[in-house]
Formats: sequence, C-alpha cells, structure tokens
Amino acid sequence: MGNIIEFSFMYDSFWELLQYVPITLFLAVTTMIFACVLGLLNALIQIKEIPVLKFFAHSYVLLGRAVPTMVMLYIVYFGLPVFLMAFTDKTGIDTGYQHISPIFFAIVGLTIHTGAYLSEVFRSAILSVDKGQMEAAESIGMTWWQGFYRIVARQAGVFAVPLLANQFLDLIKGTSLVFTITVVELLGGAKIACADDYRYLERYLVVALIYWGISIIFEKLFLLAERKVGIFQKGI
Amino acid sequence: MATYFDFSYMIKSFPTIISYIDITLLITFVAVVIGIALGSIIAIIRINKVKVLYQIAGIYISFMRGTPFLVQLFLCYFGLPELLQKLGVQDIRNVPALFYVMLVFSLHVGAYSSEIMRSAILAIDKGQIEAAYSIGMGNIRAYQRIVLPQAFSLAIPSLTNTVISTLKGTSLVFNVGVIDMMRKADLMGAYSQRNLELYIDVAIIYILLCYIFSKISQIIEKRASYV
Repeated sequence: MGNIIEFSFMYDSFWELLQYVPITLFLAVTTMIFACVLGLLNALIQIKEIPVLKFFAHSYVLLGRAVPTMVMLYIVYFGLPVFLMAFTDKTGIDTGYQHISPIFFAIVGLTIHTGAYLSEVFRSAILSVDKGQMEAAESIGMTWWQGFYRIVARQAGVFAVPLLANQFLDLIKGTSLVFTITVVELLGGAKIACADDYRYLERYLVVALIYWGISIIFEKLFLLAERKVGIFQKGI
Repeated sequence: MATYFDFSYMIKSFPTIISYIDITLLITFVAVVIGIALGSIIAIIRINKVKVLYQIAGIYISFMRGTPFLVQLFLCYFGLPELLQKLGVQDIRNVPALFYVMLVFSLHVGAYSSEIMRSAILAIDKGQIEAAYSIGMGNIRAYQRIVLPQAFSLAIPSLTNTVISTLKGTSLVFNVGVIDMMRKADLMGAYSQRNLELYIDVAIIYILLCYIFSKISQIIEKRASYV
C-alpha cells in the first residue's frame, strides 16, 4: 500500500455516508422539539411552584443531568418495553411494544436527557427577565399567561438562544450514541460499512469531518438567529 | 409470569457493578489532570498569539468541540493503529485499549478546558501580570505564580462541569472493549436477561458520583477563593 490516506476512497465514502446525515438531523431536530416542550413545562412548573409537581420537576432536573446519555438510552431501550409489557398485561390495552422501532427509543432517551438540560436553560432565561416586567403586565390587566407569552417569553428568548444553540450542538453530537441501540445513523452507518472492508481510518475521518461540518454550519446559523432575536435589544 | 422488575436482583448485583468503579475513576482522573494541563498551555498560546501554534490550536479546539466524542474515540482506537501500521510500526496490537481511551479523553478535556482557562486568564486584571514583570519575574514565572493560581480559582466551577461531563463520558468507553461498569452490566445482562436492573444500578452509581464530585468542588471553591 503506497498511500497513507487514500483520498479517492475518502471521497467515495463521503458520498456514501452523506445519505445517513438526514437520519442524524431528523433525530436531533425531533428530539430538540420534544425536549423544548418538556423543558419549558418543567421550568414553568418550577417557577410557578406548583405544589407536588414542583418536587418531581426538581428531581427530574437533578437526576436527568446526572445520568450519562448512554445509560439513559439503555434504560429507555431496556426499560420502556418492560413497562409497556406490564401495562399491556395489566390493562389489556395493546401497546404494540413488540413492534416499536428503535428510533423511537432513541428519541425518547435523548429527549429525557436534553429536556433536563433545557429545563435549566429556560428557567434561568425566564428568571433573567426583571420581575417588574411581569408585575407591570399584570398591573395593566393581563393574566399571568398573557404576560408570560407577550412580555416575558420574548425577552427570555434573547437570553435563551445562545444556550439553546449550545444544547442543540451537543445534541447533534449526542445522536452519535444511538447506534448502540441499533439505530443506523451517521456513525452507525460508518460502523457497518467498516465491518465490510476494515478501512477504519479513512471512513471515521470522513465521519468526523461531516460532524464537524454540520457543527460549523449550525453554529453560523445560530449566530444569525442570535442577531435576529437580539435586534430590539440594541437600544439598551 | 416472571416479574417485570426484580428488585432483589438489582440490589444483589450492585456490589459487583460498583467494583468496576476504579476504571471509571482512573480514566476520569488521568484525563482531567492531563487535559487541564494541556488546556492551560493552549490557553496561554492562544492569548499570547504564538505564531503557527496559535492556528493549530484553533483548528484543534474547533475539531474537538465540533465532533462527537465517540467518533474521536473510534478514530483513535481503530484509525491510529491503521495509520501507524501503514507507516511501518508493527507492534501496535499490544497497546491496551485503555491507552487510546486516555489519549482521546485527555485531548477532549484539553480542548474544552482550554476555552475555560482562556476566559479565566483573560478575566485576571492585566495589572497583575504587569506588576509581576515590574518586580522582575519572567514570563513563565509570572504565569506560574501570579496568573494561573488566580485563574484556576476563578475557573473551578466551570472546570467542575468539565470534570463531571468527563465522568459521564466514561460510560462510552465500553464501546472499544474496556471493561467498565457499563460493560459489566452488559455482560451480566446477557447472562441474566435483566439489563434494566443492571443499568439502573449503573445510573445510581453515576448519580452518586456526580453528587460527590459537585460537593467536593464546592469545598475546593470555598477554600481556593482569594476574594
């Protein structure tokens, strides 16, 4: 073998592996959407101090952030079917747990993980808005929800965007773990292809480059978004 | 009908799983020590804009932060021996997997902590280093005695975050054949078919470790603050 790194092979496998990028992005985007909902709800529960739920929200944030993603994925992957099986047996409602695609477990696992982090992001963002804003909104007759949606959430958004961007970039990198629960995404695809010809160096280099490219692209996009959201902050 | 969740099995296997904690702690320790040292050096290089090294450091940090840890691990574990073999080094098979894991982890922590150290060093008033120069200290001495100690005490909370994420990252090393808690849980699960209980054991251990680490950092933070 003459060449140390064969660039033509890298070029070929780049196009080969590019077909897995949509799966990686699909995982990341879907998880982000669900995790945003979960995180926002969780943050609101903590801020509004809803009695019993507050306790659950707080423990979720603590535990969700302490458990590694990998462990979380495995717990969901092995635990959810058992849970659904028990549910089916006890109630007789068929949940079809035998036919759930592993991508569903991947999304659930990643959502639980990311949701805990996002909950803290949203909480700190909402708390960063001056208390007087909400009081002013309530003083002119808005309800709490109106005040939150029209006044507080928009200002909190400016604070939250960079943090959300960080979390999303982390999530894209986090999706590389789901091949362990048999979802074939970018890294999984590379691993399968490697099993054929044992050319690890070039192929993993390509995978790394693709992830790097994705990260850089999203970083730039989020910078644009940050500027757009922060536009009315200029005067301050 | 078997039970869905065997609580007694979970308790029973807990000691077996926790006995593999040493490998997790060893990897974390080595990675953090080497990584923070590397990170500090890179931070100083980037602040002082050392020629050539400055550009290399920029690319290194961008790469390490832009690619998933697992990809880096695979690249190093599978790719490096291949590269070395092509270069003519043959006894590469004797190198234990743990070596690659520690190498990648150190580089990974190095990239993340260099950003932390950079902001911490920049947060130190410029007058400090000027004062150090004025009493005749050299560059290295000024950093070693004046700037870095202050920067470290500022950086403790962020470095703790890195330490904890490193700790959590060790749950990935079973992918390259290092036998840690995850691998042990996997092996035991293959035998008993009770993976869930075993992984919950692992989760409990990680939660405890995170808790202990954050407590330790709080104590250090209190001790180390110069303010």
